[in-house]
This record gives sequence, C-alpha cells and structure tokens, in this order.
Amino acid sequence: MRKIRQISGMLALLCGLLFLQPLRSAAEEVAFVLKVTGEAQVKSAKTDWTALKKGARLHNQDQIRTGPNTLVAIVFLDDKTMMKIRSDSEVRIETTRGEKGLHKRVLMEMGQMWSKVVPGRGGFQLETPSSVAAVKGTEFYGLIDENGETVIIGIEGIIQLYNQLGSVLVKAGETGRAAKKGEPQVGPTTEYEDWAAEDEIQELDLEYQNDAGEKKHLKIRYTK
Amino acid sequence: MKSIPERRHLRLYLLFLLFLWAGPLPLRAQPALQHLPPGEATSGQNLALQVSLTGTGSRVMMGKLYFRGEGETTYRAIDLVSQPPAWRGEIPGRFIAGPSLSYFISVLLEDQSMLTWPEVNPYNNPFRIRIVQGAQAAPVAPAVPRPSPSLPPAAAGVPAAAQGDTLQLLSPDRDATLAADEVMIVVSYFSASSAIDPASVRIVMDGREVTRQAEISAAMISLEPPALAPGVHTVAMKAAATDGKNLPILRFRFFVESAAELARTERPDKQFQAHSYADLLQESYGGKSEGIAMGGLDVSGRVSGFNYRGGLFLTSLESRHYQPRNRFSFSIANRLIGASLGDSYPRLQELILSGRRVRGLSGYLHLGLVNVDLVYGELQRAVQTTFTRDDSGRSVPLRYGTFKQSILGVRPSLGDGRVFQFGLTLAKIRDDTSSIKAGYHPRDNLVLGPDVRLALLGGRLVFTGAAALSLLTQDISYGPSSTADIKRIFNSDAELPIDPADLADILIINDSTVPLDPEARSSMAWLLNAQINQWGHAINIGYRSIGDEYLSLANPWLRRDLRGLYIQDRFRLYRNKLFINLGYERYDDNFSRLDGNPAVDMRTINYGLSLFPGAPYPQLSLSMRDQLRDNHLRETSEESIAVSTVLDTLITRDEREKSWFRDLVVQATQDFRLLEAAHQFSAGYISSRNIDEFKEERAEAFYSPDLSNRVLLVSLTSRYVFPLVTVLSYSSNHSEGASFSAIDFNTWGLTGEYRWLDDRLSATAELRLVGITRQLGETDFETSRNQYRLGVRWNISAGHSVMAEGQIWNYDVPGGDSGDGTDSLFRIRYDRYF
Repeated sequence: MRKIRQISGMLALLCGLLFLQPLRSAAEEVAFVLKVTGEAQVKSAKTDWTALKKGARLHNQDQIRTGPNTLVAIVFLDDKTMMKIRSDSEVRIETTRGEKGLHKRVLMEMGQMWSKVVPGRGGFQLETPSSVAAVKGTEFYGLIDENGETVIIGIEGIIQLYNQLGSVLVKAGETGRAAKKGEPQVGPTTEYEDWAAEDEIQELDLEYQNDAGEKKHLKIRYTK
Repeated sequence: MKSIPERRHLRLYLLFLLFLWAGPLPLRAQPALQHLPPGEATSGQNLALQVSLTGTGSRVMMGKLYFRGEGETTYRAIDLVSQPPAWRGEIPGRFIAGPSLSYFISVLLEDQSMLTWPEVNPYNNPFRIRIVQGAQAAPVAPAVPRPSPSLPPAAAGVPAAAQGDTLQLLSPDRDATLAADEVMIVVSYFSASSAIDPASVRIVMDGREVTRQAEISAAMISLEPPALAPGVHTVAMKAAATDGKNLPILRFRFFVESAAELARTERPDKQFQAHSYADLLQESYGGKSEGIAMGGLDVSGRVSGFNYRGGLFLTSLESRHYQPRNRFSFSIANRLIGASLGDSYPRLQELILSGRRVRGLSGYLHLGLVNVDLVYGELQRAVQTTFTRDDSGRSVPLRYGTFKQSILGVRPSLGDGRVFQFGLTLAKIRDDTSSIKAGYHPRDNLVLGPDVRLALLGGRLVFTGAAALSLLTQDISYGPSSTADIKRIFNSDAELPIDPADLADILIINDSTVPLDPEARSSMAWLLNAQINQWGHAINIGYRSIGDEYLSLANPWLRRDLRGLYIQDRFRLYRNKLFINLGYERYDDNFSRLDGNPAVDMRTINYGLSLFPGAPYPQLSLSMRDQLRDNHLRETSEESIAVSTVLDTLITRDEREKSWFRDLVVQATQDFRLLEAAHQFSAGYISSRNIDEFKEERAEAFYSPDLSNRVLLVSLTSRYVFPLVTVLSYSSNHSEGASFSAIDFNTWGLTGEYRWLDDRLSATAELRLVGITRQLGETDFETSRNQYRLGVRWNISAGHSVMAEGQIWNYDVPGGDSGDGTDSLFRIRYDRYF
C-alpha cells in the first residue's frame, strides 16, 4: 500500500510538471520575421531545417542560420526589440516570460548580429562560446571574429560583457572583446561596418561609362 | 629681352592676377552647388528646397535630398525634380517635427562627378535647421471618404482592458512610406495573464473588412495585403483578450509610394535632355577691345537600350590660323558596343594615348573575354605657315604652321577588366607633308605597348602595369633612307634584312629616326602600380621609368627622362571625421644625361590631415610638402668662349642646384549663427619657400631660385533670413626672393547676392580693392587695381534664363600715367533647357 502511494505520488508529480510547462513552452510565439534577403533557414523543436521566409513566426528555442549574402530582420513581439542577423551566422532564440516582457537569450555560435533593444522590459542577453553580453541599453553589434573572439560594439546605451574571468561595461563608442580563455577587454571603437543601417538604406548601383570608355560604379544609398 | 629676375617678377604678378580673377573662395571656374538654406522650418508644413549649379563645364543629371529628424541616425531621401535652371525638392510636412531637421543635397553631374551641399563630408555633417511651431494646421482629411463598417460596440458588462494591456504595432511604423510590395502589417499582444481571443479580432483597412486575410494567433496578428494603390492607407484593429477584456482599438496609417516616385529611380528608355546656350562678351584690356560670341547645344538621351549624346560648340574665336576651337561630337553606345563621331577624348593606354582630343571616329566592341578599341582621326589640323618680307624683299616664314597630324590606334584586349585584362596598343601617328606649303620637320611616330590589370580581393587590391616602345622619325620631309645610307650611318657593310623604303607605309626610317638602333632602351617607357583599399586605407605604390627618347605624339605632355618610385596613403579614422595623407616620392630627373646636364635627384615628402568633427566644432585641414632638388654639383665651372678669331674670354658657369621646396597650407572653417543669420568663417594660410642652399655663395650675376611667398585668406559668408548672401574677404600676399625685390598684394573684397520673386530674379554686386606695393631699391612703389562687378540673372520661366554681367577694373600708378587705365568686360548669356 505504501508503495502504491509512493508510485501514485511520483506519477502525480510528473503530470504536474508536465502541465506546468507553459512558462518555458517551446511552442510559444516570440518574434516575427520582417525581412529575409538571401537564403536563411529555421529549425524548431519540432521540425528540421526549413526555408525561412518573410512573415514567418518564430518560437521559443527556434534556431536560425543564414547563408552567404543574407540578412534576416526580426522583431520581438513583447517590446519591438529588433534584431538583424547577417550572412553565415547561426543563432538560437530562447525566451522566458516575465511580468514586463520576454527575457530574451540569443545564443550565437558564429556570425554577426545587430540589435536595438527597448530598455526596461524583458531584457536581452547575447551568449557566445566565449562570453555573455547583457544588454542594459539600446543598440549594439555583436560578432564572433575569425579568432573565435566575441566582439561587442556599443552604439547606444550600455552592455555588460562578462565571462568566467571578468566583466566589463561597454558603452556607446566602445568595443568590448572577450576570448574564451581571456578576460574581457574594452576600448574605444576605431571603426566598424554599420551594415545594419545599410540594410535600412536601399542602394542604387549604377554602372556608367564616360566618353573615354572608362566604366565606373556609382552607388546611391537612400531610404524608401 | 627681360632678365631672369624681371621675368620671374612678371610671372608672379600674372599669377596673382589669375588668382585674383579666379577668386580664392570659391573657385569660380569649377562647378559648384549653390543653395540658399532656409532660416527655419515650420512644424507640419512642407519644406521646399532648391539647388542650382554654378560654374562651367557640366550639368546636373540627377539629384537627391537626404534628411533626418533630430535623434535619427538614418536618412530618408527624396528625388530632386529638374525645374531649370534649378533642381527642387520638398520635404513633406509630416517629417517636419521635433526641434530640428538635418539635410544635405547630392547631385550627379554629366561628367560623372558628384557634388554635395554642404560640400565636405555631408553625411556626417549635414546642415541643420530649427523647426518652429506654426499655426495649428488643419487636420489631415482622409484620402477618400468611404463609408466604413463600424466595429461592433463593446458588449454590455464586459470591462475594458487594464491600462498597459494593448495591441502593439510592430510593423509598419506609423506614417511610414513604403513600396507596395513591402507592406506587412504585424500587431502583437503581450500579457502575463492572457492572450488574444482570435474570434474577437476585427480588422478594417481603408474602410473594408479584411479580417479573413489575416493570420491570427494568441500573441500576434499579421496581414500581408495584396498590392496597394499609392497614397495613404488607414487601418483600424480591434480585439479582446482571452480573459474577456476589450483591448483599445488600434488605429494607424501608412503611405505607399506612387508609381511616379518609383519611376524616378528607374531609367526610362526614352529620356531626352537638351541644353542650348548663347554667350556674348565684349572685353577691353590694355587698350585693346575684342568681342567674343559663343554658343552651343548639348543633347543626351536613351533609346532602345543605347545611350546617345551629342554636342556642338561654336565660337567667334575660331580661325583657320589656329587649331580648332569649335567642337562637335555625337556618340551612341551601350555596354557592349559604342561609336563616336567628331571630337572625342579616347584613352587607349596611359603611356600612348590618354585623353588627347581626336577629331574623327572612335569605337569599341567589348564582349568581355575579347575586346577591341579603335581610334582614327586627326590630332591636329593643317595650319598654313604665314610669311613676311625681309629687307631684300624675299618672302620668309613669319610663323611656321602645323601639319595635319593623323592617328590610327587600336587596342585589342583579353578580359573584361573587372578582375583581369591584358591589352596591346598600337598607335600610328604621321604628319601629312602635303597638307601645308612650307612646314618645319614633319614627323612620323609608331608606338606599341602592352598593359595589364589584375584586381584581387573584390577589387581591394589592384595591380596595373604598362609599357611602351616608341619609334620617332623627326623629319620625314626627305623621305626614307636607302639601304646604302643606313650602312653608312652604322659604318657597316653587313646586308640589312629589310629595305627601309619597303616599310615607308608603316614608318619612314632615315637618319633622324630615334632610336635607329632598336636595341637602345632610351625610347622605352614602363610603369607599375599597386592600389590597396583595405582597413580604411587607400594606398598607392608605384614605379615609373620614361626614357629620354620616348615620345608618343598622341601623348606629348608625358614627362620624359624621368624615373622613380612613389608611395601614397590616405586613411580615415573616428568614423570618417579624420583623414590623413602621407606620401613619399623619389625621382631621378634627366637620368640619361644625354643633353650634358647633370641628373637631378628629387625627393618629396608630403603629409596632411583633415578634421571634420561635426557641428559645432570647426573643420580643419593641414598639409605640408617638402621637396629636395639636388643635382649634386658643388663647384662652379669655367669655360673658354671664342669671342672672335683672335680673342677668347673665360666665363664662369654656376649650375649648382640644391633647393628645398617647403609648402604649408592650413585652412579652418567654422559655422555659427548670430543675429538670426547663418555665417561661415574661413581662414587660410599658405606658405611656400624655395630655399637655395647656395644663395649666399652665388655671384650677383647669377640667378638664385631662393623665394618665399606667404598668403593669408580670411572670409566671412553670411546668409540672412531675407534672401541675401554676402561674402566679406581679405587676402594678403607677400613675395620676395634672392633675385627680385619684395612685392605685396592686399585685397579687400565684398560680394552680395540678393534674390527675390521666389528666386526667379537675382542680382550680384562685387567690389575688390587691391593695393600693390613693390620695393625697388630704397623706394616703395604703390599701385592699385580695383574691380567693380554687377550682375543680374533672370529665370524667365521654366527652362529659360538670362544672365548679364559687367566688370570694370581701374588701375593707376601714382606719379606716372604709363600704367593708368581702365579694363572692362561685359557679358550676356541665355540658357534654354529641354
């Protein structure tokens, strides 16, 4: 009898755990794909890799990978936090629902991303093999360079970059770097490629030829 | 004949007059954008802006106006519309909001160059205007009043959602402007305790129910409408939460671009533009008067995938006694094939033919893997020799004319040039000895040379190289030499493989042919260059060697007897706010020493920086150049000259040269506002020193190049709330040297331009007062030269404009009337744009 009660209790606990899933439901919609240029794929907990299209809805624990010459723009549904994922990147989105919004964890194995985070809501965290960047402010670039080092370029606001060996604050105009076996460092940003802004700017590429037969390209960037 | 010091003095004076006429700020001959910015903008009201092109040489093909609100990082752009002679754009009132607005203007010219306003780094330093609150604008009426189905009222007893529980618009942004195929409506709902009740969702777009087209889930509503008509679109969305609460209705609007706006970014196939003009001048200078008339017509367009362009320029200065001053041309081309008739400026290879005018026919066939370029025509036309009678009555040449000189050039090549191209150029140039009655040294020229281009890393690393060998016969008037003549020249009895007479159609060979010995390398030229654009650096590294006897008559200005290397780097830092230039050159001039003069070692270091920190800080630029010229002669030499059959005289030659040339240019510009006017203050300092190492050692009779020159330029440009622009300037120029006495120029200038009748009429007045002080011995001589200018431009209607201008110079020399006088220039010009 005692044994039956123990087994029943364990079964009840197990069922209870199953029914208490909603806080981390893998099927929960968390973001929307606004734009896809090039080739990108998405994989969810239930499906294998499929083509990612504009208008797709992303769920908790979805993975995205991008091919060459590709850009994916997504927006999170709770606070309009925007994220752009560049070519040859692979990220995974995990969210936890809170009172004020979704706490977002983006795990990036490789590649480059940009994000504009709305402060004061759910929070945003970028995790790479070498570090974690907790975003306290608004706009930044994150990338993993050819040496596997995580680079965070602060555009606006403050980002806390940390790993097991230390922590730094990356402010606007600063670049933070963290290698796997190194303490995070921060320094002034000397130059960077503002590719996320270029995405918002359309580019008109004109090939023209002058009287001498010389061919040149004129690129005019504009927003529509 | 003037002595060297007086010649140099005169050169400086003429140089300064040219500088004075051209204007230190800005350079009038160069095209520049002229734009009068508004003092402020009114919130919610459209802001019209216009820009026009001044200067000569080109015209605007297209233009864009970029703008952004305060705090925004990206620009919006609108196309400028041509309303000759200006280009106009209007920023919609819905973007005129916030405390300020920044903008800049960019135009593409006919010659493929770009101009911007502001001129320097406009993307990071746009012009900023204040936005003021206007009178309350009338509410924007809906585009089309339609009966809209009303959304069902809230059911009785159902409470409204708590504050904070609302539908959130993710896309598009409110009042955004989109292309029709970019519209994606996305709305989300986030709540800790509830979700969207899909059954409660109602979406009304432009008065029509579109709920069924939407995809609705617990957290999001998305709708991708089919192609929308251009104009404004309104959306109203209603939903309830799963806990029964009604969410506030979400209303927003957005705009879809019209086809006309889209078409401006495309290139319609039949686009025709034309510009005709007539220009009349009456000049009076140094007591001589001359009237000049000019006129022209330029057309361009596109038809059936081909671009065409034509031009005609006529001038009263055209004379058969000179090379042609009239111009005419017509060309039609696309990416694969093109042809040009008339005057063109072809380029086959940098060492052989690079931009010299050819009147004839040129064309190309560019298939990519295999290409060919061809040029045939006249480099110079025949101008007859003019004669005069000498004392004995004989007819002797007064001025030798020029032979008609023709060119046939061809360049086949492999590769399209984007990554790789190898070309081989052959140019045949010959003077036509029958084209004039009495000429001097007609020439024949054959040039052959390869060139190669290799672009790696997506064009970031580019290698180019070229070589050429020239054969030039300096006098073909007596035809080719015979075989016996050639043997005599070489003092050889060996049989020649060819008879020069057989080659006369290709090249006339005689004793004036250079080089006669084909193994000589004095007529070779070659160059190598590497261009690197990486990590923000633009680096050029190269070496060139031009033999002393190398000559292509199609590129006669190429400096010969020169070899050396150069390296130049330009890079930017701090988000394009700081530009740095560094360069080094080392050349050997006259390295062959064939003329008996020593070779000159030239070393140059140049460095500079330009700083654009952005408002409110000033812009600064600084550049310096140090050059050393050294012929390594340290002693004077003596030479015995026969004065007569019985008398020799000993003369001393001083050909020593070791000079440092040090140039410094500093310029600063600061924008500021004062008394409701926008001002720009600019100051510049130029210092040029030629330091002769042997200045103290040279005898008085010998010329020393030691010279120093200092120029100070200050100007204040002011734009007022009424349409007036003024420029107040001062400049001083001081020069002195070892071989001439000091001379000073001081200039005060005041220019004003006023516009009225909505910029259709503008008047310009200018006053320049120049004082010149020249030191001769113990005495200072003072002269003055004052300029008065008055001009009017009237835009009669769209595409028609007339300009009239008068200038008068008064100059006087106190104490003597040899140089007193008045010069004048009157001009009227008419422009018509199609």
